[in-house]
Amino acid sequence: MREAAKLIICSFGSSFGLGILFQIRKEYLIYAGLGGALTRFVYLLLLQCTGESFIYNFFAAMAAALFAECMAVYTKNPSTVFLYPSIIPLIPGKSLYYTVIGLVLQNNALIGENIMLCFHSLAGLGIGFVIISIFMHYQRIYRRIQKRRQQMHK
Amino acid sequence: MKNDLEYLLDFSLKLGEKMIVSGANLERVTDTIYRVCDSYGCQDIHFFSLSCYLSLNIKDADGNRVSGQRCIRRGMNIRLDHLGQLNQLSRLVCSQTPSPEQLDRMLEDAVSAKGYSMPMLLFGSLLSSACLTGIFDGSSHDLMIVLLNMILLFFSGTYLRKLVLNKTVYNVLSAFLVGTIAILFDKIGFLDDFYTVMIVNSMKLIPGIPMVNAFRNLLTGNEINGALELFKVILESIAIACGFLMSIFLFYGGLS
Repeated sequence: MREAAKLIICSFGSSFGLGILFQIRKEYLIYAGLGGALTRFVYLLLLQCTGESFIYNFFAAMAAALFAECMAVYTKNPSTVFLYPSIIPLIPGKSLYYTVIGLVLQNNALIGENIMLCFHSLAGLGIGFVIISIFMHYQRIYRRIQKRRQQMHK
Repeated sequence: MKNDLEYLLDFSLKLGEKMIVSGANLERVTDTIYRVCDSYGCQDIHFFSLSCYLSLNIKDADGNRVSGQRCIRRGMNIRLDHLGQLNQLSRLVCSQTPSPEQLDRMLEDAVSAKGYSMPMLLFGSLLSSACLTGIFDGSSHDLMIVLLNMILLFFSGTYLRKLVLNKTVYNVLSAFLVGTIAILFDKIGFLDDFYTVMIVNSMKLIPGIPMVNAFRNLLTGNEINGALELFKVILESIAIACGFLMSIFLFYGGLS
């Protein structure tokens, strides 16, 4: 429990710091931090249920994308503003590092241990965002069509 | 003398470039360009985008057609405040359709806002690295070296990249510098976990956003851009690994 709280606080700080680096406006920095904390919370929650890296990265990415879309509507900004700082702490830096080290050294054991983990994590992250993005995209189109219909009726 | 359609074409391409450089994904850029051109009554819009190249072909109601291309030589320099401003500009342009001659100036105004000061950016960099060290369970000694390296990376990122244009060369040099410092402190027994320092510092160099965007592009049908981005990410990551390995082989004689 204590370890989980530490990780969530660290993710908040990490996303907050990345928000500064990515030059998010001051009033939105707190949301960037909250996005990181929420993403980590979902990640840790799913880690309790499954050991499959694709699954927990997939749902954590979905949570991050959903949060970013909600914040985008609330603040009238692109969702990217809140998405990027939230997901950076999830990027599989460790497995990518060892995969590339293995590639350069032609160490097949090191590559084998890490490449699938890296691939599953990235695929989970990518698919998680895309599902939410597609859903939001069609929702916007639906709203636009409805708005036009209302204008035509008037 | 440019006509209205040419002004619109110029504006759309410059807007697309600025959005990509600021960190927008390609779907959003495409959507924005279509909406802007559509709001000015363009009927036949063809837009092709890569993260390094844009091409737009538009036709107005009178049947006049213009086309233009734009090469994006600058790499991605994520400025999410600019992205927000550009998004608001595109909404404004779509709703009010100001005269095309004004568009260029409006675009310059949108990205004229100054960002955070240098000390604030350094603070952000140190805060994110300190927290990442916490996530990777690093000790206080590891944290100190991570922060020292981050200060070096921050200044090398600000000044060295202006001298060394190639990102791959920059990554090799930066990773070598960071690796050497970590090894020196490891040799005197100061570090608890050498690899935690290396991994946290490499998180600053790893092109995380392009990597996720590459996967996203591959999944959303932008296969050419996805493959291109993925190749760039792999090259940059190999450059980082080479820099680290150079320092490890030079000072340790190999991996332990």
